Amino acid sequence: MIWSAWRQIRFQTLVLAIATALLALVFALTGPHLNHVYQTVVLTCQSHNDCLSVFSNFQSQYHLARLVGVLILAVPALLGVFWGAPLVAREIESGTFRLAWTQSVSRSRWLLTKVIMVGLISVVITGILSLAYTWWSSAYSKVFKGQFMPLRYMTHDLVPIGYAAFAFALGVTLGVLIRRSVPAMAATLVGYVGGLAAFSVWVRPHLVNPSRRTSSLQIFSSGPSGPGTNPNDWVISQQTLDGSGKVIGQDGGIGSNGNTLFAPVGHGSPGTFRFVGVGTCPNKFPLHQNGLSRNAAPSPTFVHAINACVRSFHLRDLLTYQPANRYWTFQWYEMSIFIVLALALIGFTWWWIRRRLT
Amino acid sequence: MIWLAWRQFRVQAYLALGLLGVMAIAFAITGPGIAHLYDTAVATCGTHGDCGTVQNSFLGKDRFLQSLSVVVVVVPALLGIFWGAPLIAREMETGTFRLAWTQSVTRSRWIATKFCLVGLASMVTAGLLSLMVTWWSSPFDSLRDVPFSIFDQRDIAPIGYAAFAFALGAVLGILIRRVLPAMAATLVVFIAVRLAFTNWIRQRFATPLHITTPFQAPGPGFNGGNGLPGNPGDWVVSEETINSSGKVIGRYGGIGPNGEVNFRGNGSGVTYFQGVGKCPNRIPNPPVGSRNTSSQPPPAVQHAIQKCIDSFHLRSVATYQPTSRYWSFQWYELTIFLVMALLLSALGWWWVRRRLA
Repeated sequence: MIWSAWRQIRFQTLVLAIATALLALVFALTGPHLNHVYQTVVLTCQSHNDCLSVFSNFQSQYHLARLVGVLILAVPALLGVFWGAPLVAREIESGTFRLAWTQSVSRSRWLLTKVIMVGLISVVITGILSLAYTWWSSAYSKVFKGQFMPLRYMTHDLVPIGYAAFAFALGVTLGVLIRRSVPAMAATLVGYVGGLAAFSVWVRPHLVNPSRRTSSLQIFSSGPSGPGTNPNDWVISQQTLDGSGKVIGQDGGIGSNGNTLFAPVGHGSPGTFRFVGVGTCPNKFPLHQNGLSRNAAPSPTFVHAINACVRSFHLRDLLTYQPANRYWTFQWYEMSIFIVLALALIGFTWWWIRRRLT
Repeated sequence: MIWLAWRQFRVQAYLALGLLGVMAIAFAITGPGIAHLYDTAVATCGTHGDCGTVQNSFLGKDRFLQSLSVVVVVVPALLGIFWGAPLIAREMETGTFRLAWTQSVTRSRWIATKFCLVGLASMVTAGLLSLMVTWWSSPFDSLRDVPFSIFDQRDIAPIGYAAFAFALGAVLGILIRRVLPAMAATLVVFIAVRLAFTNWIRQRFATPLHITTPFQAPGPGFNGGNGLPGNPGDWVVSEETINSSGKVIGRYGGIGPNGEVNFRGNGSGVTYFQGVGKCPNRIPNPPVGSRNTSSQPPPAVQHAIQKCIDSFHLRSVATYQPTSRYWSFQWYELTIFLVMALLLSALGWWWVRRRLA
């Protein structure tokens, strides 16, 4: 049985192994050089004052990275679509399962041998790709932060292994249920993409209870850049609270759209400003309000006056985030969840083939 | 024949229609709110002085729907794989082409009808999808202002991709005669062609413009490259540093293969501009920027560094495609992919008539 399953998959395995080896070769040839550039040029750029041009050059040397990232996200889907879905569906469609099932091998063993062999090959190939890519882009990840960004988080380290197992098992299950290759392939693709998107949007942010940090609101600073914020942190939400703890805005502004809703009170009282919905500032502002133009940065005295006003209202900035040091917890959790899902799907398929399929 | 082709295709057509309908509803519900928000908050942020937070907040709206732009990139490939590749290959694999060919309809008409119906449906699907995404995303796009980086997700180019992907899939199905290998081959070839256009061919549709400026020392006002043309929507193809004899000695505003701009003193008051030469003037100590990142070198040092750079007559050359060429590039891309689709279809038609037994 093992030999039969291998015969059916060996050509495709060979093609994939060659493609993986080629990519690994590219990584092996360019990786040490990139690491050397990182050690000698990028790490010393601050003392040479040429970080911007060095970063641009460094980024351009990683022009392959985006492409490989997308590839690693796509490989589990492709394996699920092209290996998982037709694994049983094609046998059912073309009637070859009748021959297979009337041999000395039981249905259970027939299914499990196929699933374990092809599934393991899928997982191993994806794992090799993901780990090789992680190694190759390690210097890039140190320079350009944001380890929780979806395209980075979902293509590095462990999670692609879980995705590969899940996609493959989903393909097998849908193939058994739908019994036709091409529709099963389409359904696998939709199910995998939908599953991953749903997980990213609704589940991943809550895998671990997020941390919260409150600081006084900073107007005219874009993005959460308060003290102690690690650029590798994953900011889930940023809310503005008033003195009584009520949420009155988000994204560092007041009001639901990030506006500061900050405006002069009127012509009668020059230098008096107010926050709409909060109140009138107790302090006076410098009259030349050159702070309020689209391009020019506000003058320091103006910013100082605004922050004095913000303090008088006790406005605070509530940051909800996942700290950078939880990265590995997230990777392990997510990989485990997808592997458990895969095992559950395979268990269901096994039961279905033994009991329900005739 | 049209009726038969439609019968074989209608489930897929209804599925595509359903998905387009779901997206259209999601866009129709959220689109006006986004446009209103843009007009009221983003366009007026200058007068309120809160552009930073408002733009940030706006770009964070409806992240999930924004990411649907990717669908426009993926759908042509899927149409080629799921509609194109099995179109003829499935008939061959299951042997149903024998029945079809022994009816009153000629082979030519059989294949022409199938190609026209499914090919046009592919183009309409991709076109409608792109139209919806382009309309819905226009406030975000006008704020980001990088039209060439989303070139293949907007406007009319996706129609050409869909036509090409479909024809490629159908022809590979005819040549390979088996569904699954044809689907896999379609995916690989389509991605290769699209990457070739994105990385090498598209930027050569028109002779790029050049802008040359004197090389500037990196400093506080240094914004990643010296000769950037003014419009942020321009597509900068390359930025090179050239020396006085016109030789390229660096890229992206740097000198040397890795973008360094290094000054190195030898201890006796002479400073070397690494990779270029010896500075003719003396540079006061410290010859390089302070180790402390927050402070800049003193003005006297900066001045001396710039004087040394000036003495070498280095120039920065930016090669770019201006924003104004966006639409002509879209039309070029559409035309080229449509022509490739027609050539492939002709090959498939000829092959079925002459070569296929």
